[in-house]
Amino acid sequence: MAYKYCVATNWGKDFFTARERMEFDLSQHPGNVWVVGDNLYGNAWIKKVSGDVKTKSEAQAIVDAEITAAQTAWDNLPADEQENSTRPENITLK
Amino acid sequence: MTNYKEIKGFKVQSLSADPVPGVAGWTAGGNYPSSEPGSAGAGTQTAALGTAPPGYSANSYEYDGTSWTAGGSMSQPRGQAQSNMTGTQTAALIVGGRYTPAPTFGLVKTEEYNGSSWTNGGDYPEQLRNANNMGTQTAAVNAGGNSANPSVATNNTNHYNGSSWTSASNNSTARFDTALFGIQTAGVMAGGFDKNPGSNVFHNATEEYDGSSWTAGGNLPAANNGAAASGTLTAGIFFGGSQPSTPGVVGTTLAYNGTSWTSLPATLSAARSGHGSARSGTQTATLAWTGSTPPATNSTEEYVDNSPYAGATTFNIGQVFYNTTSKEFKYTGAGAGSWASGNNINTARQQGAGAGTFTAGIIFGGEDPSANTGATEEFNGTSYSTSPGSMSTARRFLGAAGTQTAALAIMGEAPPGNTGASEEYDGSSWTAGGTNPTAVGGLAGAGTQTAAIAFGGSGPGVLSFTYNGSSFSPAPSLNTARYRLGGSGSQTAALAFGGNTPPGTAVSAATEEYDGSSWTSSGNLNTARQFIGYAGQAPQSAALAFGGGPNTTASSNATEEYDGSTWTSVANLPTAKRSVLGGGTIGNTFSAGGGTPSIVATTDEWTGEGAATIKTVTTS
Repeated sequence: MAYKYCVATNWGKDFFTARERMEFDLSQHPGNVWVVGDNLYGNAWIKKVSGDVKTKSEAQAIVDAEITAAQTAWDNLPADEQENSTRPENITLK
Repeated sequence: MTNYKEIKGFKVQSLSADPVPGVAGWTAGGNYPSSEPGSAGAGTQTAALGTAPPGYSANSYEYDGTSWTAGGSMSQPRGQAQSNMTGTQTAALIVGGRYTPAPTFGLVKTEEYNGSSWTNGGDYPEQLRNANNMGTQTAAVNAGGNSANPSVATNNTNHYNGSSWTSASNNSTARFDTALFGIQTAGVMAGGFDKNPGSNVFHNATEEYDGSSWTAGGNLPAANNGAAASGTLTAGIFFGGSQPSTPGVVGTTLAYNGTSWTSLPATLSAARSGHGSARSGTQTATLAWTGSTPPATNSTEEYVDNSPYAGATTFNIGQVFYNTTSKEFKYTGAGAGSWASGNNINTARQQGAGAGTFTAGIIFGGEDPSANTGATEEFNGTSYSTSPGSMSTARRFLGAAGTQTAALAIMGEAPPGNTGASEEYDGSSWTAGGTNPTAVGGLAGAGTQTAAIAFGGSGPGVLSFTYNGSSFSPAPSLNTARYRLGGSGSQTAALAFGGNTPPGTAVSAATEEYDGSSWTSSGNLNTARQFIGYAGQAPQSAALAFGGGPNTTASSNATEEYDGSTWTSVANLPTAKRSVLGGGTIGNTFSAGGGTPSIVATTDEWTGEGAATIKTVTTS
């Protein structure tokens, strides 16, 4: 399956719909990065949310930066706070 | 004999009501006021209750199916309370949790919510951070939870009657961060985590409770902690959570039938764990909010399954049924496509060319109000930006092929005559491509930068050529000689339509398909026209033609879809235009500039097939 990548801010209600989720693959990642199935419905959704289209490498860089920041924040937590969460792991976009 | 079921995959049905368009999946809901994981949840999809996080807050928030608003404040701020709450938005119960700084490991305090304010209930018998709570405000059960550091779990079970907790039979597997659903006398606890005797343990165990004892249920497909759940013992739903190492946080959605788990096709768009959930939601209508993706998210997702009948989870376009109530014969028909206005291009122009897709398109060349131009603009699905690259030879009525990052400008009119030169675009600049010995204007193109075909146009001799990325070669000519035509497809499966058939000014409706060796006539356009707009990325079997000119002076707003044999008229362009610059496919197309006949910078955007609708079959 081919994918497109965009950055879009989730405005909340109906940002995506269950119907849209059935029409194309959609997943959200740190940094407001969305991986979108590359079909006519996915393209229409990118337009609907005014998505800023990125290349895969650009999108991956945004995610990497967010994860790195989250890892740093986790590393700085007190030990008992770390007990309550897991250290963010790197994410490789499909 | 072939019957309807063999064609469509289902029988013609008799139904007492029209089927609801089958939708099963997660929809974006209103964003939560904070994004920390560990929000406790109660209520339903359209009347939910959540507590905050962030930090150790006393806040609570109410959801109405659209947005979150502030509710009452608890007397005890608390965090780490994901599964600590149960009940409804107007009758909720929360127990335990963590508060820092605090003299104790966890909290014993219980509070009850009535839809506007919190009041103290009976204290829990032991300190708990993450609890495992389910049921109602007056008939709850809590099974275990996080009772000591480091992440030590208990399996003590206690009942709540609206005023105090009493001891009940312990569950089998001590754990916390579990997902629970159901009521005190028919409940389920699945998954979870503990660190006893010292290493991280993710659990896949499911236990069912009947009000007096716990029994083993079907194991989760994978060990999971930090998930959430809703529903009943025999119709539960479980979503999200975290699995060890890989894949880590997941958006998986599972259904429980009282015996075993099955994976549902829908997944949370944001994989998350430690999220809030509508604990009194159902298997077909629940809610997830916040959680750790990681990092934390404030997004809310609503799950809905309104499948019209078992097994049908998507629109069945073409489904035929008889409504026994209205006594009408009906079918589910595809929705119509439509045009909408887009953002203007930067250089008003007509008679140029377009390529690429709707979200990665490109326009170049043409005639601006004063002269031919080589200007290039890129389209991202929303707006047009001028590229620093401009064709070295300004031209109009050129052919085009390729994509936004690998486009091809093919010959065209460059007064005082035609040019045989091609130019290649790499996403930022144009460089010279091969030059055809026969200069052609008014042609169409299809294919890619390195495997294109150009056909039709005005010029001497053979007027079809292939291009291999460096040079042109003659190809079979169209059966109907014409110029200022439309085209799409690929080098070996191209489509030509419309145009002007010289001598004279007669316009053509002719359509021809190319198979890599010859052109064959196909169904005519309904509206003969030249200067026609087209979606260049559309395949030969699914093309789109729009606008154009029925003569040398007028403009057309006609739009037609081609299905491989026949053109069908669909929604008209909002404004009649000719010689537009277009790209995309039959599903999503951009139409930029053009002549009304004045040269304009306005654009239009085509969205193909819309939402399915129920239509009634009538006879006459």
